[in-house]
Amino acid sequence: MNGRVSGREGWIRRLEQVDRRVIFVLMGLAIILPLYTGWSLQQTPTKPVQDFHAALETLPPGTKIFIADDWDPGSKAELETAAVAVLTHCFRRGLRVIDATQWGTGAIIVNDTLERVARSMGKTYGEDYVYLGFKEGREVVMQAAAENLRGVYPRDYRGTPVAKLPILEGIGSLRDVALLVSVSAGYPGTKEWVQQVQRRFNVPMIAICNGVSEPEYQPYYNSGQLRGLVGGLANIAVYERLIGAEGFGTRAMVAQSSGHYMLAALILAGNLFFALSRRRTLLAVAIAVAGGGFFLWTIVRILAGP
Amino acid sequence: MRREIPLFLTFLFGTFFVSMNFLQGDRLREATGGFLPDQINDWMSIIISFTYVLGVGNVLRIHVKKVARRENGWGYSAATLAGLAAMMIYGLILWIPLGIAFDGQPASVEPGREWMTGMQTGSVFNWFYDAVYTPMQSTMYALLAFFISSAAFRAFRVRSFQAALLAVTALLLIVGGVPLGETVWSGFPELTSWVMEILQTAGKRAILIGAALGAISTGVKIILGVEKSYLGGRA
Amino acid sequence: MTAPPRWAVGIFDLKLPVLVALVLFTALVLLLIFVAKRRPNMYIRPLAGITAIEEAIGRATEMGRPVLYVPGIDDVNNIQTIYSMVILEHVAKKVAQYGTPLIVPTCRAFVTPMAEETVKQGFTNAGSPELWHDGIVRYMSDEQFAFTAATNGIILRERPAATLLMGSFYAESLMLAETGFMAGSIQVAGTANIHQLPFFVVACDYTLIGEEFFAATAYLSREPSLLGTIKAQDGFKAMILAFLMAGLFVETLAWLGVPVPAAADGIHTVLYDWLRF
Repeated sequence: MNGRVSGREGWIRRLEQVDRRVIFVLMGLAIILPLYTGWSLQQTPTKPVQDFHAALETLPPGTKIFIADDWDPGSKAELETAAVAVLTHCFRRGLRVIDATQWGTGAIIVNDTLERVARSMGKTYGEDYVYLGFKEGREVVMQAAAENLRGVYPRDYRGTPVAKLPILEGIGSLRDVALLVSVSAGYPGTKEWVQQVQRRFNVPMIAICNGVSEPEYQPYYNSGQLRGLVGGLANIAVYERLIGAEGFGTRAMVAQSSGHYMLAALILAGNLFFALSRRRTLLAVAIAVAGGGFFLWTIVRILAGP
Repeated sequence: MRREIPLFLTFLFGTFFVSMNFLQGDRLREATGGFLPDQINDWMSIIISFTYVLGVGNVLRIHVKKVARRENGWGYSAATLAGLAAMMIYGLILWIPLGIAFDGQPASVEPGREWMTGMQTGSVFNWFYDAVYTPMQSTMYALLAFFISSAAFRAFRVRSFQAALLAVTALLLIVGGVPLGETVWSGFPELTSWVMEILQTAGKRAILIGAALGAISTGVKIILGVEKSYLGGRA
Repeated sequence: MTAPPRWAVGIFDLKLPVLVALVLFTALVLLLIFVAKRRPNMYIRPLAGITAIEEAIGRATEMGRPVLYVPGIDDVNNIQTIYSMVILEHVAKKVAQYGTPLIVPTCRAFVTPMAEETVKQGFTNAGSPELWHDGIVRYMSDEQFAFTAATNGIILRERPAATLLMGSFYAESLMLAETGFMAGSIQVAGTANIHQLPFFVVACDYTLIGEEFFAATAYLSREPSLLGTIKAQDGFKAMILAFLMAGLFVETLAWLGVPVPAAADGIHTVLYDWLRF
């Protein structure tokens, strides 16, 4: 009998302290396999996402906006998708885009993304869009650009004097643009643009960011300083649907959902093994019933369809 | 004087940038003929850009010393120096076409601009960036998905009431914050929005206020010379 | 043509509420630093994370394994890095007293000499300046994930018994914390970067959240300027809380449809006309 009890305890302990490589493999499969299914999932837009969309949608064609693309290859999965969606929306609306970045390591990928989208939509450099490139200085550059954009960027990324670019006619500072769009991966990013530009010069501003940054910018949306906020790949996918340009974000939703549910399963499993190893039977039963019931219901809902 | 001059400069420029918040930039520009604030902003950009020179100098100092003394891991230092040299040569000095440009044509550059224009579409520099740097950075960031899964498995244990609250809230947001959540229960989007916009924003706002006050107080002390630790050594 | 700013006077845009608050806060900071110099034993309540730092160093000493201290990945212009140096000096003093090895990987070339001087000072304070050697502070790389990979390598090879993550962190926070756990370290983290706090709370044994990190520097060093600053921040926060409660009261009255009395209307004017600049 002791052998059987210790055997049971032994396998519970082993499960509680399972090799993390098993967890890595499970998570990897949960994310990779759904990418090959071709399924898609829809999500209702939340108000911050709708406001972000409306802020661009209501601008008349020909309006000049400034996009601060503050991201680098590390955030490519979320923010390249976001940048493509924002640029597609802007170019479809006939908006004219002035783009720049505060991240030195992102200067090339931002340029590549901008060029790729612009050329695919038949836009002309210098007329419909311009890339001012990277300028070191962070907050100093931000507030200087809000005072005197041409002083901060006397030449664009290609080395052309800005005075020769038609898109920058009438643009002396960021106060002359209709909207500041922040595509942000961290610091410097949305928060700094709010502090240095939006707050001081009342420039209308919206932001699209990675998931981990969204909670930090939520207070600025709640206070009205950000007129719209899209945070995380799920909301980026929703935004893609709103503009009718489903891209990587939409395709990745099944994988992201699957990954999240695997994460939930791991949390529940961890707690179940914890409860069993501590002989907290009631807790273990509650977790098993609640968790099992939830996942069963999930399967039923998936099979039932929308 | 070694400490007094930096303290004075800190006070001068710190006060200037704080006072810029309370000055109308356009009026100031008119009153000073454009000297303020544009000239100061230009100086700051130049000074900040010089930090790159100092940064490269420091990198060279540390890694050259490691290679010269054959210290533990000197091979990695040699690789670092080789990478630094390659990127600087191809990025700043030498332009070599590799691949195709955006318009589908072979990469090219205007005649006479081959020197000091390394960073062009289709250049070797850009190839290093696209083929080496971008995948490496993306991969490292992607590791977070695996780290969070192993952390979640071991850390979200219901050991106490607060831990249970943390676990339940985390579970709700994890399952409700993705499109599948709405398929499972139509109320998930509203619930997760409420948690994000009301509950967590309240906590975040409090921390934001506290951190901002900390930043302001430290800034004030540095400008006024009360805080001198940035100069190194004892105040 | 945009309207002139509300508080415009000549070339000035006074932003009176902001200016008043800034002057008030500055005066409070300077006053309380002055008071702290006169009363060095000002009370700061002990925080679990601060006690945990001491315990972690003790554990490392017992196990004969090093203490790993990561001062964040940001540069000297970030105040968290400056505050991290204060804690590092205290940690260096403690490890010198116990004879515990210390490893300090740094992510910025400029932070490296600052960390070196700080550790040397800590050793000197403990009366053991001879314990300093070149391998303590290790500059890794300015690149975020290169630094993370290198530091993870140190953690897995050298198996520190205590990992202290104090400063400004970004995406690498969870990687460092999880690797520290894999190595069997007791981990204490402290940061004011809100977006990384959840990762530290989940992965570390103790976390100093936001201002607790700033308060820890005052608690450990007992320097009058830090003590006075913490007290001033507390006082100012109490003031902010008073305004928040007043605003909540007025808003609740308005929401309930209760006619607002004149006194409350005055509060409303201050809050919405003055503070809502």
